[in-house]
Amino acid sequence: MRRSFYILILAGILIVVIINLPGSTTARVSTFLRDAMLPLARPMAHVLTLGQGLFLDESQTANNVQLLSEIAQLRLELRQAQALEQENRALRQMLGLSAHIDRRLIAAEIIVRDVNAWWQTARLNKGLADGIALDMAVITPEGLAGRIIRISRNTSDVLFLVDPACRISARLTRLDACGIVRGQGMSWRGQASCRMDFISKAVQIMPGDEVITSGLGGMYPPGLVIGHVENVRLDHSGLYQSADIVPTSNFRSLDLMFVVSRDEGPQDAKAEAE
Amino acid sequence: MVVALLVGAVVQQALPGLTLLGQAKAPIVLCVVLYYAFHRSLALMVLAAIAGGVLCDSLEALPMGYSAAVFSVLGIVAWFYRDVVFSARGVTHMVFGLLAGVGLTIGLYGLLLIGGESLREAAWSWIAFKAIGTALLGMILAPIIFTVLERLDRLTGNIVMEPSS
Repeated sequence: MRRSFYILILAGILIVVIINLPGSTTARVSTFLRDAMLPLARPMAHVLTLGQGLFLDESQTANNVQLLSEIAQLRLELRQAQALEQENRALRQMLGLSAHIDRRLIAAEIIVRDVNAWWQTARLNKGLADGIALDMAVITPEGLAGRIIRISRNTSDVLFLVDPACRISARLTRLDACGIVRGQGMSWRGQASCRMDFISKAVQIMPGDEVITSGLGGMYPPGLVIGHVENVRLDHSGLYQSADIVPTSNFRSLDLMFVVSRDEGPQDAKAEAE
Repeated sequence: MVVALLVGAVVQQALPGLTLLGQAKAPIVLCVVLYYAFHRSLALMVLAAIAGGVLCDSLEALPMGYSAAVFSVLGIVAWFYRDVVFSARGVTHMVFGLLAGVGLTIGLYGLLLIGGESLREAAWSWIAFKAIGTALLGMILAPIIFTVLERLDRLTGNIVMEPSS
């Protein structure tokens, strides 16, 4: 009995020590274990997706990845071109202030869905070694999916935009009105939803209006599609409007995602001449 | 024990959550800890709980030590009660799996709230669904995992076979 008591005391002390370890130590332990488990996790993920990874032709898979990557890249460039055109119109009196920003897309496969049961997250098979960094935006060919919240050498975790912990500065394309998009989680039927808050009461929002990232804060590039307005109402304070947003990305059937790097190209030639 | 914990943690991480039941995940590592609570010494069970908890926290991106704390508490409770229940019966395993599933959800949620993690302002219904889901999965998985680990222990000679009369 005494031995059991000492074991329990020792266990309690050990657990308290583990919980109070410095963040850098726990991060090192976590990243080491995650990278060590990756060789087991990858085949497990393939088996659990009904053996797709076991039976699909490798060249066909690679071709699909390349095509999806090109689609995502082209859509991103189109969105950026539209955003730049709007910005150019607004800044036509100023010279050389708009910088052409090149964004590189890093394709990554989802190896673990629902990393844990508390946040809407997924794990990608790319990490620091592939040029991914914390807080980089993650997109699908349909639009914004989330951002990188945790990273190791060979893996990274995405926090989906539908998670309530994810907040994005957004803009209604048609009205140029800004607000904050916050995830509302998944319903029990598996339907993802978001809500856009702090929208000015003065704007007339219609169902179907497109919501994109505003670029404010610098975390998410501007012009990434978040979703469309489903319905609108006045918030509980009566000072602002709130809109329910249906995200364009389908979070339950994602296999491939693209991390948007923060590489920047050279400034405009006019700016350099100035 | 190491193999059981490693494989259990990887499988638990890889299996998606049940969307209909609050994204409940299969409590495989917890069932491994319960097995050790029922069939092995306290020291070994505590070791399994802490090692399994650290592994789960690393793979599932939870704050380090939370799962270890909850696994240890649930394992200790199971260890204390193993002599007053029919610990070899499947029904007992199912009941303990069910209760441990509820305990795991509530324990982790409590720790995450106390720790001030950026957890959603979760509706009680979502937590209740999650607890029910984890309990159901624990109830289903516990007898299976117990049987598998028992077979594994017999294979490796950790359990001495009783001589046939």
